[in-house]
Amino acid sequence: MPKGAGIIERSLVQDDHILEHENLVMDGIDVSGRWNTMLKSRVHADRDLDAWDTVRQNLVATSIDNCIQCGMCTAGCTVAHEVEGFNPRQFIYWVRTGRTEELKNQADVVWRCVGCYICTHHCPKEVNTAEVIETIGQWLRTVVPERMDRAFHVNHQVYRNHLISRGRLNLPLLQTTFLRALGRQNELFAPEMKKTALKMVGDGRVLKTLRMGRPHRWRKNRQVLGSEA
Amino acid sequence: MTNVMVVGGGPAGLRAAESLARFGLEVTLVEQESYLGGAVARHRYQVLMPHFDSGPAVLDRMVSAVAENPRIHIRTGSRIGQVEETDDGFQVEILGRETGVESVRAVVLATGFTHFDPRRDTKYGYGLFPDVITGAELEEMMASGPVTRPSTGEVPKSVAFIYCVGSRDRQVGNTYCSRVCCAVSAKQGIEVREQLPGARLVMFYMDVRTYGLWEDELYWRAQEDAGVVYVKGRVAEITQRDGRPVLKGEDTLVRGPFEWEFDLVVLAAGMEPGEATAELAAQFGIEREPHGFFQQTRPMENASVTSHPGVFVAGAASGPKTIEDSVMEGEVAAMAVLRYLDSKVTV
Repeated sequence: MPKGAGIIERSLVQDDHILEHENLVMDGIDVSGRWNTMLKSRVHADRDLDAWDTVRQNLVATSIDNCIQCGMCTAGCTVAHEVEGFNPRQFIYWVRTGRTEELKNQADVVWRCVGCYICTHHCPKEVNTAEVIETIGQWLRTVVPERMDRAFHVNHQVYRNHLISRGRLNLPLLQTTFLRALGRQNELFAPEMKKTALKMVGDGRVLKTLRMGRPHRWRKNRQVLGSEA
Repeated sequence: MTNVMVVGGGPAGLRAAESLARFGLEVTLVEQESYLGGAVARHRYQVLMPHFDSGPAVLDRMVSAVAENPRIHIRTGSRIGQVEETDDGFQVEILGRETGVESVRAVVLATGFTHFDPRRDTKYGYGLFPDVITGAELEEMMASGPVTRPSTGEVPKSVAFIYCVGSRDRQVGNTYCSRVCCAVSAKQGIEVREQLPGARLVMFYMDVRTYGLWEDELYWRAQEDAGVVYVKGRVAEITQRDGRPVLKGEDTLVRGPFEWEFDLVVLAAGMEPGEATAELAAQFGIEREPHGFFQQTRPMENASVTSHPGVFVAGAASGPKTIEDSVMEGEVAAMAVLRYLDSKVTV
């Protein structure tokens, strides 16, 4: 039987609000099928303020408490105009009102920030929005890593290894390592990529990159970076 | 000797009486309660919005300036009876311990306001649930000790403030904004935070009207320094679950209904015309504006002028007002009385 078939005026109820188990036994009584049909409430009552407590304690994100929800950040946001669900104002509000379920559902979207800092520069309350959003992302990375895109985790790992082993970013190498790790090495030979590579050989950037050494006293810094989780 | 009557011994009336006496007039100050100071004294405000002045210190200065002045005749525990107009003023009957008739040339009405009684708006469960209190009751609580839950005496772990109770609501008959409650609630949030460092403090608002200089001094400070969370949406109903108030509302910023339990709920009840406003308007023959307060007939010229010559108004009796503004209007009314008496002499 289709989901919620027993509901009168079935067309008025959204699919994802119908709870129905095919087989269910409660207190020894078989209530399988339409007998256990329930409607999920839209009321938000399970509040989890851990995210807020965590975020506001982060040195770069204490300004989250300044937010007055005016929406200037999202209004000027580079990403919000392209990516559905990316809304810095909303992310901040969810954190402060304990709506972590919504936040977790958008775990992957939160990380789409391109770091242009328009939000931070626009904010009339001096919220460091870009870094607040990143801190929220960091919290999500620890609580729901499985909900992030695989590319995010691979990128994170490649980036970190790169920094630890070389001391500075080598973008061509970063790109090739990243694509290889994701099994997308074919993209390295795409026409656009070839064109860029030739151009970089031509203007000497490739040569410069190969000669790039490690930063001064790198060994000491590496110890610090390597000891972080 | 020129005699002026001031009705109401709150901040506006005290200031009007003090100034009139300083100008050399004999003043009769009529107050229905047995004490002077109005709402500041009634609810024992300890800390005054917006500058966090000491309530008792402000009250003491206001009251002693009047009590120590020999030109001011204080009639507490008294009300206004019959009023008769004469050629040069009014014959006013005073009902109280010493009943009598005073002959005065001008009257200043500074009868203030009363707090909206949330029992009239049953959705908040005020009077039914012990942990739902008004802002004035929170002030009284803070004046006599720490903030606790009335039901158990325990320290609350979470406190909600509900804005616009009895204000901006046709259902309860008040279509105006009470002007000070947003700022007073922010001030209370800051105070409660000092007592309860770990508590969740949440304000439920429709919009925040901490106008003028209060924006950063109160609203921003409550958020930034006191960690108060603002949730947009008026609370539709309070119920009780396991002995705790449950707030039901819509979070209009995320467009969805919520339920939220708190240990203590503070209702920011608005201001209404004082009880005697209608009666006094009839007695002195002055008009009231559509919300029931005394009508300021020429506010662009002078805030205290009413529809009847010789009758002046000051303070929250003409609309919701701060203590500062009430004091200022007391001063304005005193000046208006002088101008009026001067014009009567010369014309």
